[in-house]
Amino acid sequence: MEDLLTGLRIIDSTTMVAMPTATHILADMGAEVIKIENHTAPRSEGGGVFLDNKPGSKFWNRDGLFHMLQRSKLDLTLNLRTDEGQESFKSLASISDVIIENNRAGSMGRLGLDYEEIKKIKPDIIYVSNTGFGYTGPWQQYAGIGRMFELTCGLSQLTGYTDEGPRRVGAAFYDVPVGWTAVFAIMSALLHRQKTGEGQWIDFAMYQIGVSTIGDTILDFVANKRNGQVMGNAHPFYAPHNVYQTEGEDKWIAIGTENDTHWNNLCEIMNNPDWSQSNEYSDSFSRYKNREQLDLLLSDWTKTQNNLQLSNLLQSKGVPAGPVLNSKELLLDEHLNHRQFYERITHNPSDDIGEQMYSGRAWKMSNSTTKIRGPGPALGEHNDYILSQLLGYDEDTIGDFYDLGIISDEPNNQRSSTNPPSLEKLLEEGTISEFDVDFKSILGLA
Amino acid sequence: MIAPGALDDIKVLDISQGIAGPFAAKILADFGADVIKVEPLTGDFGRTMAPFHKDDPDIEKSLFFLLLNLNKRGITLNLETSTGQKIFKELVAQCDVVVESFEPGYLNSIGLGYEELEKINPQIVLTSITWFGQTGPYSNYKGEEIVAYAMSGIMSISGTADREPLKHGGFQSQYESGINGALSTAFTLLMRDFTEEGQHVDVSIQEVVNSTLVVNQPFYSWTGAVQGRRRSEGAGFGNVMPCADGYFISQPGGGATWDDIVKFYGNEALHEEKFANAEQRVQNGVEFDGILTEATKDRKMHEMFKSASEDYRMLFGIVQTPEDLANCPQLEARNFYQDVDHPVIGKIKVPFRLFNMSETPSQYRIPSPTLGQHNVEVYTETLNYTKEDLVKLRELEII
Amino acid sequence: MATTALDNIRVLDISDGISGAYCTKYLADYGADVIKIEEPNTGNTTRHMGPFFHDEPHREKSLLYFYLNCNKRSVTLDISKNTGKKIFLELLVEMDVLVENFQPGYLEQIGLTYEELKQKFPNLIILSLSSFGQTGPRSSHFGNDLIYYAMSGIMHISGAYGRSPLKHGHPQSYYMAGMTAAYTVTAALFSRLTNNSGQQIDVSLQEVSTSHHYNGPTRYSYTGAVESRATKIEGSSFKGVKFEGIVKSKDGYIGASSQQGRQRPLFSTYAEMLDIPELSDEKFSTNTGRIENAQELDEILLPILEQWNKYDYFDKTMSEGWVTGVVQTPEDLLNCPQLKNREYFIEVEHPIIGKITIPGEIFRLPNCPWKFTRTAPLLGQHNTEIYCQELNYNKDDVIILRQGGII
Repeated sequence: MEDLLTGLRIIDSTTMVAMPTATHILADMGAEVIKIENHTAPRSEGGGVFLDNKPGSKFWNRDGLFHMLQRSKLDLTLNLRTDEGQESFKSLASISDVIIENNRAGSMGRLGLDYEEIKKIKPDIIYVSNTGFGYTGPWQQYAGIGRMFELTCGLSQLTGYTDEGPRRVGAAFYDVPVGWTAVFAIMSALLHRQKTGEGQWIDFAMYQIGVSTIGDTILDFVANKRNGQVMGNAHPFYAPHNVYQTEGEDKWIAIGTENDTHWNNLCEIMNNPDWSQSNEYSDSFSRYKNREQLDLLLSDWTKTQNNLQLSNLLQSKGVPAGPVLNSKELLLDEHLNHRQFYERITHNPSDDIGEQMYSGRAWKMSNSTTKIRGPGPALGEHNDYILSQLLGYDEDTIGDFYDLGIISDEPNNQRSSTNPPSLEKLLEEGTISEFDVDFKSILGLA
Repeated sequence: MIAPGALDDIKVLDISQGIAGPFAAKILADFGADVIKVEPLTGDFGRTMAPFHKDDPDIEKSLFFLLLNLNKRGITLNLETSTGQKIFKELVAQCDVVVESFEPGYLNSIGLGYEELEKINPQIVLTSITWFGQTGPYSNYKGEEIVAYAMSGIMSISGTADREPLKHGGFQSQYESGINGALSTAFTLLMRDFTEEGQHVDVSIQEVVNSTLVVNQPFYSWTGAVQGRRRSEGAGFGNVMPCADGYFISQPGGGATWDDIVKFYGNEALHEEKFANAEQRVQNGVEFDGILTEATKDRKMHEMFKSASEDYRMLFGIVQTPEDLANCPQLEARNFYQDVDHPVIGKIKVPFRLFNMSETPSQYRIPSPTLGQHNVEVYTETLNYTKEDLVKLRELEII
Repeated sequence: MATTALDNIRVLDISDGISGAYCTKYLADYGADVIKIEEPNTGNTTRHMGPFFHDEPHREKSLLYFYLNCNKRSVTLDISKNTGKKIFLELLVEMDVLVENFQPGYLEQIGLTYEELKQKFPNLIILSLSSFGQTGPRSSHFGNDLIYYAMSGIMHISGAYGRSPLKHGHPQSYYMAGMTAAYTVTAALFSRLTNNSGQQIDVSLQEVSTSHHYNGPTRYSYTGAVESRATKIEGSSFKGVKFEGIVKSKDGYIGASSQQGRQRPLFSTYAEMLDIPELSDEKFSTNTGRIENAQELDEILLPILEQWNKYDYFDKTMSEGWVTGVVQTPEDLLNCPQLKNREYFIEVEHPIIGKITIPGEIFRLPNCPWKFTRTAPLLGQHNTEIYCQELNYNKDDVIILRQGGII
């Protein structure tokens, strides 16, 4: 089976999470993605994750979150503040299809590497400039990050416990979707190029992408003047439809009934307790009206049940249900492993990591190979390949580049090795709820 | 100025679909009853029946549906859900009549049979119109217009002897049953004034059609003879005959002598002995037919009708087309037609007046409802739901 | 007239619900010709989901349906009937993409298999959305937004310590799945330019939701640690409600944070910007320190933040390079000066709803831009157009099909 994107070359001059997600998806799909790194700036975005919680030497090549985000890519260090760095970038651009960068608006221009300049050497280049809010407007210089976008895009207004104010979730939610939309944008631009021969500059803002996902809520204001409110985990019209505590420490089950049949099957599984037969709960509208009391009664029962067993039982009767899973349970999940959602990748021996598991993708294609091509690259790992094989530079030039600090395989700005807090400390704080010393054998990591 | 209606204080829930039930409920509505049509979320299947306005098969443009559901308000309600059944019972408590046409046993199976409804409202009249009735070995058989025709006996005597039996075009059995449904409901309401009790009215379409065959049943039970179908030709005056621009039929008798008839057809040959009585007209049928056909081949039907009726006082009929009916001076004079303004179809003239009453005539008030048109009105005014409740009920697919 | 990126792409969307509709919204908004197939008489379930225009729960007044389905045409068709199946296959002949979200196994049940579709239409891209995917032990299970959140790992780490897990108050999982589906379709279309091959794309909604939360599993597979919702002391936790989460301002809520651009400078720099010298103390300089001294930190910082108006705080901090957020309401978004500059909101006219302002351009693609071409279709609005002009049925056929409940 062929790859989807064979023959496509993409320059990835980005940091953070959203654009690297886009480019690792493109790389998993078979594009050649060349990550341009600035070895004069620190690599990890603050607090990496290291095997056995120990950074080790060359920790900049050992951060798990880096590997997760940057897998499948090639790596070229370039000091873009030098003439040679800029020239190399342009040479690479002239043989590439797509460039993605997410610096502050105007930065690439100041380096002479913006769309207008690149277009001169590669007229059909597709050049994506990603910013938080766009290249125009009063907020054009404002930085965007995933975890703040939930607030600014309007999602937090709707999220939280009903007895409190707004909250956001524990993950930086909007980073990854912006990455997905970027893949869509790049593919669309490529399809356009195929028809017309034209490239274009894409002023790609994160803000509008998030706002577009709550369009119905905005229209509710436009038409009905309702301004959004937090609703806990409740459903706007179904009940029972919530998470309920189950047996064990911090174990929960989500039960999401949608009609009389689901309800009747649930009652049967509960052995039809008296309260479930009363008028308050015997039809869907009454259940919705009395949902708070219903949730209390139901959780009295679920507290005695095991969440995974109960969800399987409910599912066998056609009732939507599922356990609230934590990270460990996800990695060990039978279904996800069958689907090979987590892929196992063996690292370079020099990184001293061995085998690891990384999230793949949420989809499969029947006629193409899509998979993680390799771990995240070491700093400057492909300097030689790219400069000599792709750009035709000779050995002496490459040697000079190293000497002049235009390229490197070690970070210049070496922070003292990061010192993550001990797992015991994190457990005490409550940042983590448990840890396994023998996690490698639990996961079967080689 | 709306005159009083005979059934002004009567509230009807029409949960029937198709033709017979809705027609019965419409008649009640025409005479003043407040009829609320209760449709499933997919709408009465009658909405899928052609003809459609301008041939656009839209859910709001069935002209069939329009005709059968004038004067009714319309709500949606999913009777398959517990909430829907509960709300229906709330409505029944406030109504006088329920008209339904479900298969026998269905209402019982969802807890809405007559026994249940009676508990909620002892005065309720449940009028059930089904193909074979609520009881008996055929009661759960599937029915259809052609099945009712076949099973009622009328098909065996319709058409010609040399061919397969024939049914009327259209849906006569269902219209007749609708009329029967309306009149039986009215009788029951009348009784209710005395007894203060409701009843379950059981109308069988097969029986309705059968009851129109006043001649051919006694034919067998009195003489042992089974009536057959007419000959295709030479049936005396029995068959429809062609003329210049259509078809006509005439009969002896009425106010005409044989002389008058001969003069009308303008052929002295008709005075001959061989055409002197019915039996001979059949024996010499082919020749007889020939004379009539020849005599009328250049005559137009409306001219013949006028002449036969006014000059000769004959029993005479012409096969009128829909266009003829739409332009019929008699129907116009009788105010048979009604102008209707429908929110989607627009302005249209429809057949309306079944019969006249001097003090409480049938009245046109509102067009047929669009699907769920009166949900808000009925659920907030007749029952006590709020607009927010209605949004939830919609999302739960109850309304 | 500018071309659009996908103007030569034809999509048949037989999905019901939000995820397929949001996928084909992306495609339609960027030029694809999308035809929706809806159930005769009732249409998509989203037609009876709120919010409704003026709270009138009519099938043409759902604002959710309206938002999801501008730029698309609609026919009605019941593919569970043999004639419906036949017409479905006739429609597919001219299509590039089919989007569906049937429960795995349903198509087989009604006598259509993926194998048959792939054989008849080898170039077709079939986008199949399902709760847990087409394969695996859970493929026949039932899911919805709550279940996907629960099983994604996100819920476990969201909410307050010691309280129930928390999900977003808006069914984001469907929109996320729609986005994923949209990008995979375009990738398959691009690939098809060279190898002329169709694909079946199997998208799992649970996996889409799980994709947001890669941090946690990576942390476990590297260190054996299982992340939890928030620190025991809410005060200064990364995920807590208070600082680094969402805190009260004078006129609403803000997202305060001590991140500046890509860096996390010393906390004292943040303290300096806001002119709160007490917070420059050593004990507040590390994350652990802020957690240990959370109560004191809160007592100093939060009352000060509560004096700020939300946009004043947002504008000051953001323009100095800090990365903060402001909890915006729908009304705020409609008045947002940045969105105004981007011409994000547009006014359109719907035959029943009338004139209304709606969100527009999802992202900018200048040479083949986002475009509004038509409002959301009325149910079956394009039956005659599509069945008579694009297929070979005449008006009488269409009436017979309607009477038979096929359309």
